[in-house]
Amino acid sequence: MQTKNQAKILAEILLSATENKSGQQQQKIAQNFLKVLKIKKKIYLLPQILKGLQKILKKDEIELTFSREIQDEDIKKIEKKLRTVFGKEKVFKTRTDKHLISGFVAKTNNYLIDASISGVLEKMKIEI
Amino acid sequence: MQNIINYLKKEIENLELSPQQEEIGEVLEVKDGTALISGLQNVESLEIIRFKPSLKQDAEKNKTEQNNKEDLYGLALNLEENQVGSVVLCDFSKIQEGDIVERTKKVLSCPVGKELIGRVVTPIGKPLDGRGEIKTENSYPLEKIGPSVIDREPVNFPLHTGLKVVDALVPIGRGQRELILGDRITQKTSLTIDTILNQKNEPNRPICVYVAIGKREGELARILHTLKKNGAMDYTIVVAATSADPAAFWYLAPYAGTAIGEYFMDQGKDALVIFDDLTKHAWAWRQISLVLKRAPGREAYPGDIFYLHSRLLERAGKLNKEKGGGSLTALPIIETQAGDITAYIPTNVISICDGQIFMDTSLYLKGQRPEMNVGLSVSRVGSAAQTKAIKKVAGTLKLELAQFQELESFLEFAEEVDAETQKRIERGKRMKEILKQDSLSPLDFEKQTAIIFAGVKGLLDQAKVEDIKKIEKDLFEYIETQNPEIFKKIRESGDLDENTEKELEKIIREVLKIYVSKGN
Repeated sequence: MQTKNQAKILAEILLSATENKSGQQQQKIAQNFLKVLKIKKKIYLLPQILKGLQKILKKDEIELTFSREIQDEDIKKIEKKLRTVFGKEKVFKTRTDKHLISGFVAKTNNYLIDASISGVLEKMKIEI
Repeated sequence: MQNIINYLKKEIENLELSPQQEEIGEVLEVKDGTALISGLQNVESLEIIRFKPSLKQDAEKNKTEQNNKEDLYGLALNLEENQVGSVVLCDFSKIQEGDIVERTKKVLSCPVGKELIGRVVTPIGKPLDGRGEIKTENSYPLEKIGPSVIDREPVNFPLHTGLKVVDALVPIGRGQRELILGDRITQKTSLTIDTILNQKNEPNRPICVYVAIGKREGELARILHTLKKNGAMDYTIVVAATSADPAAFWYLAPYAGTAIGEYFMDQGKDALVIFDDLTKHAWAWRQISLVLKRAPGREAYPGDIFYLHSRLLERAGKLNKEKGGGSLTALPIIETQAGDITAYIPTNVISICDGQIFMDTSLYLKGQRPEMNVGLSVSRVGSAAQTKAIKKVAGTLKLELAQFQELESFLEFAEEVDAETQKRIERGKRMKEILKQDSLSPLDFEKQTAIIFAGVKGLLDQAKVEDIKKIEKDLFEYIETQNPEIFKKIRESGDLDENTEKELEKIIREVLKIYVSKGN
C-alpha cells in the first residue's frame, strides 16, 4: 500500500512539473526525474509511476466507441452533447467495435453511457 | 406462438431502454476469490455488482476482440477511499484486470418459499440437484436483523431430536439455539441428521434446512441419500457450499439457510436450520478478510468474527402470537481441536447460544454413542421445552448419572463397597446402557418415556447390562402389538398419569420375566 501511495505521489509531482512546458523542457525534466529516482534507489517504482500517470491522464479522457467509422461532423455533435454531461475539459478518444451492432458507448473512469444496440439487448436479457 | 410474441412485446414495452448515465468501476486486481475495483463511488455495502468483459483492442492486428463471457457477479464488501474490495460469487478466473464493473443497486438475496422443499441449492438459490430451475414468488435478503425483544416469546414447545440422551437431559425447544461441538471424529452430523429424521411424525412438523459448509461432495451425497431414503426430503431443504466452492459461498451459505428458514417462521410455521459447520464458516471469513487486507486479530481472525456468528444466530427465536407464533430453531455445529472448548471460536459461539451439547471423543472411543458429555452439556431453556412425560421420568436422571460417574472412578481404587453404593453403581450402568442409541434410529418420545421409566424405577436392576438393548426392543414390540393404546395415550396427552404408569410397570415386569429367569 505504501509503495502504491509513493508511486501515486511521484506521478503527480512529475505531471505538475511538466505542465505548461515545451517538449524539450519536458524531456529534460523527465531525465532529471529518472536520475533522482536512481540516486534515491527508487527506480523499482517506475512501472507503478507510469501506471499512476496513465490513470491521472485517463481521468480527463472519455473513450468513445462506435460500431463503425462515422463522419467527423457526427462525432463532434456527440462530443458537444457529452461535454454538457461530463464537463468541458474532457479529451475524447475514439475507436470502433463492430460488436456494438449500432450506436456508441461513452466511457470515463467512473461513468458509462451505453447507447448501443448490444447494450439494449443485454438489458433485455437481464430484465426479461 | 402468437401469445409468446405478444407477451415479449409487452415486456419490452415496459422496459426502460433509453441510454442512462451508469456508474461503473474497473477491476484493478483479482486474486483468491476477491477483486479490487476502482470507481463505483456510490456503491453500497453488500450490494451486488456485475463484472462485464471489457472491450480489448489488439494493437498489433488492429482488431477488437470481445471475450464471450456470461455476466459474473460479486458482492461489494470493503468500501475504501480509492477502491472497492469485493468477493466474487463465481469462478474468479473468468475475471480479468480492466473488466468493467456495474452496480445492480440490489442487495444480495435468495429465493425463498415452499418451492424449495426437497431441493438442493447454492447460497444464491441456484439448483444443484439437476431437477430444473426453481421459480419462487418471494426472495429474502441474506443479511437481516433478527426479531426484536418485543416480537419474541419464551421457548415453550419441544423439538424432539429422537435421541434419548438429548431429549431427557438437554431438551431442546422450538426457537432455541443449541450448539453441538466436538472433535472431528465425533458424530455431530449424525446427531443433526437423526433430528431431521425424527421430525417426520412430529406434530406441526418443522421445515428443516440443512446448510452444508465446506463439506466434501461425497459426504454430502451420502447425507442426501440418507435423507431421501428415509423420506426426509419431503420437508427438508439443503443449502450446499461444498469444499470445491469459493470461500464467498462458504461465507454466504449460513445466511442463505437462515433466510430460507425465516420465510417459514414469518408464515407462522416452525423451521429448523442446521449449520454444518460454523468453524469452516469462520475460516472462510478469515480468508476473505485477510485477502481484502482487513486487520487480523487473534488467531488471524478479523475483529468482527464474533459479530459474524452473533448476527446469524440472533435471527433464530420464537415469535409471539401477534407476529404469527412461528419459530426458527438453530443447531450450529462447531468442530473443536483435541476437545478444547476454551478455544476462540467455540467460546464465542457458546456464549451466543442457549446451550451446548459436547460430544466427547473419549466416550466415543469407549463405545458410548451418542457420546454426549452429560457434565459439560447444558440446555439453558431446560424443562420449559420438555414434554411432561419425559420431564417426569428424567427429572433426577442428570444428578443420578453425575453421581454414578463419580462412583465409577472411585471404584477403580476401592476393593469393596457397601450395598447402597453397589446398588447405585448397578443402576448407573443400566442407565448408561439405556441412553446408548444407534445412529439413524431416532425414537418417538413415548418410547423414550417407556424405557427411561423402566430404568429410573429400578425395574431393570435384576437384568444383565448386556441384555438391556434386547429388553428395550422387546418392550417396544410388546407394547405395539399387545397394548398400543399406552403409546397412543402418552403421545396424545404428552403426560404419564398414574394409571399409565401402573400399566407400564406391569408390562415391563412381564417382558423382564424371560431375562431375569435366564439370569437366575
